[in-house]
Amino acid sequence: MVNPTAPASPGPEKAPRVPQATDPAPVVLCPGAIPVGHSPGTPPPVKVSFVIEKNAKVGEAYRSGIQASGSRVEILGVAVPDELGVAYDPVSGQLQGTPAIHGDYVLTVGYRLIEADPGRPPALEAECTLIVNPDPRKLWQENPSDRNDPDWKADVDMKYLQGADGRRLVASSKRGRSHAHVGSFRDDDFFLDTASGWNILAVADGAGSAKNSRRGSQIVTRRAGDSLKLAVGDERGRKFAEAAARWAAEPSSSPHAVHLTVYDILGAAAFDAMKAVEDEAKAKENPVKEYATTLILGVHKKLPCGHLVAAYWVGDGAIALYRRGLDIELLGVPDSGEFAGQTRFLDRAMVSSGDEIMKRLCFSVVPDFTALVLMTDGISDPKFETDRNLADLGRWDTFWGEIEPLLRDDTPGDRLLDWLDFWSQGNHDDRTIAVLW
Amino acid sequence: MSNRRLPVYILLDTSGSMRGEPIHSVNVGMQAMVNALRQDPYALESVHLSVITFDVEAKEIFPLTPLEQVRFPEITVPEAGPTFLGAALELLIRQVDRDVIRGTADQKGDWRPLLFIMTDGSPSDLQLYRTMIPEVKRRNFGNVVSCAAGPKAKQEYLKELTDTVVSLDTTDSATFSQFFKWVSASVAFGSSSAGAASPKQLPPPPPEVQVVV
Repeated sequence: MVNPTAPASPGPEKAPRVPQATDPAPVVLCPGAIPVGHSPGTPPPVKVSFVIEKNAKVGEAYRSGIQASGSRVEILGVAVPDELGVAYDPVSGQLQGTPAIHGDYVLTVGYRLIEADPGRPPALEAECTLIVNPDPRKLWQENPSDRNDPDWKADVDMKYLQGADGRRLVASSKRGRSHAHVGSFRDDDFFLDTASGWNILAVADGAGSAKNSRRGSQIVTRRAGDSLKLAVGDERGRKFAEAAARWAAEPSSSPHAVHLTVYDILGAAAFDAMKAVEDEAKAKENPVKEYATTLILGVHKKLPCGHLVAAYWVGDGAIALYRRGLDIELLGVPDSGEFAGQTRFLDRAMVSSGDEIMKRLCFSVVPDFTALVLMTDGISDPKFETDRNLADLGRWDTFWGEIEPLLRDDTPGDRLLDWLDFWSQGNHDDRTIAVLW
Repeated sequence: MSNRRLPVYILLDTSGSMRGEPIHSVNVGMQAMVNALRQDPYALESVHLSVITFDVEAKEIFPLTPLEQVRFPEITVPEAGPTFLGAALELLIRQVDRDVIRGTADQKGDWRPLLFIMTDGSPSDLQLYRTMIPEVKRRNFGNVVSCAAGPKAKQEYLKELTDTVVSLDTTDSATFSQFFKWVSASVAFGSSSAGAASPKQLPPPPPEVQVVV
């Protein structure tokens, strides 16, 4: 028993409590000693959290389990907002349904702990979040491009005409969703014409990051197209046809003489196109690379020995000579890199050396053909995906199956424009196609 | 049908100094960023996100995951930790080599990946950090953006890795919120100009996010 001692100096405000006989004996602990005789107290409440395994998407059938962590539980039910269209199925233990609206939803999960103490309330609640993604198709906006821009270009373009040799030419070009979403311009362009018994086609895809590439693609297609028209109409066209006929009569002979004539027509056209871009850049006091663009050129003439086709190709996209049931001949090699979107653009270095130009030239003589098709990567990416597929006849048969019915229509250009709206996830570039058939 | 992916890597500092309000603000900001990206159609279709944290160890919070499947977990900070940014870059390189798809004749490649790094200090493992810098550069990221968050962050180390360094005056929630909004806009911008020859452009940052020249 400890006697209270009076405080020697101003001490506690209250007198110390008087110890009683019934007090437990004071415990003196040494380091390492374990206290005995203490009640353990009640354990802290178990913290259970729930996570929904999968996210949902508007309009898509959805099914997902719910993971509980922290303790073993039995889910009694899940409260889901009525308008969502999703419910908890106790039999499968999953959320299922087709969500009607997108957003993040807080769901209340009713549950009980499996090892619940009978004395404790059986039903507990916790919240978890259900994420319903929007449908990307519905998020794409269509915003007009700036009509007052000095280099304004129409979002859509099309041309259809009767060509040489009783064949027809059509080209359709449309601004892609990614540009429409931000109200910028169509960077693709094309050229289509017939002259002196020849058919002439060109497509170009302006570089995405180049400020004036819509003007670049327009300049190169027009200038190269005009240059080709002139060339096929004068002795260069004649020399090409003669050299090709001689070679076709003896296909084992060297095609070099033919290549030289192709050079004078298509190589010269590429050169003229580059010069035209440089002139524009100088006039407007802009760097040339702001006009960066790809360029694909194609010419065709029917000769007594067969069909003569030649091409010049820089960049991605494709130009191919399609013979249904027989083969597909790519008239060049697409420029691509390790990563998506990497390609080459028409530049001065490319047209400054004969060898560099020659590398991108190609010709072919065939008894007959189904179609000569040019396209920008806005079409080759979704429809062919890889360079290997681009050379695969089966893929082309499928592709032809898609567009041939459109070409049989009275207004194939318009039908193709409609077709250019096709949906392909992740592929929203400008789309341009030109066909000779 | 396979789809062209835009891989986006985010490295977050979880060293001791981030404990409390800073990491809470990061969590809120990241959640808001993911939500904002989900409203952008291009991002929703193409972005694949991966998050790595770094303190005394570098940890992959989740590997490249399609944006629509991302559920951002609560990032926590251990009691006290250094800032092993070098280890984070090392882990990043392994991930990129494992996961980013290079284009071949047979397979279409990913868009050039984007990298965003946030730190409130300086690398504690400086030697490893410097060894990893050329490795990161060799991986051909479309853009590498480093953020020096708060007064103690050292911009000069981040400048060794990339020219694109931004700084935040504080690590409070309002500032982080603006930073992550800008990251979200940059990613969306990156996905829409992802075909570009030189995708170094980024949208203009808000006032809280200062570009370090």
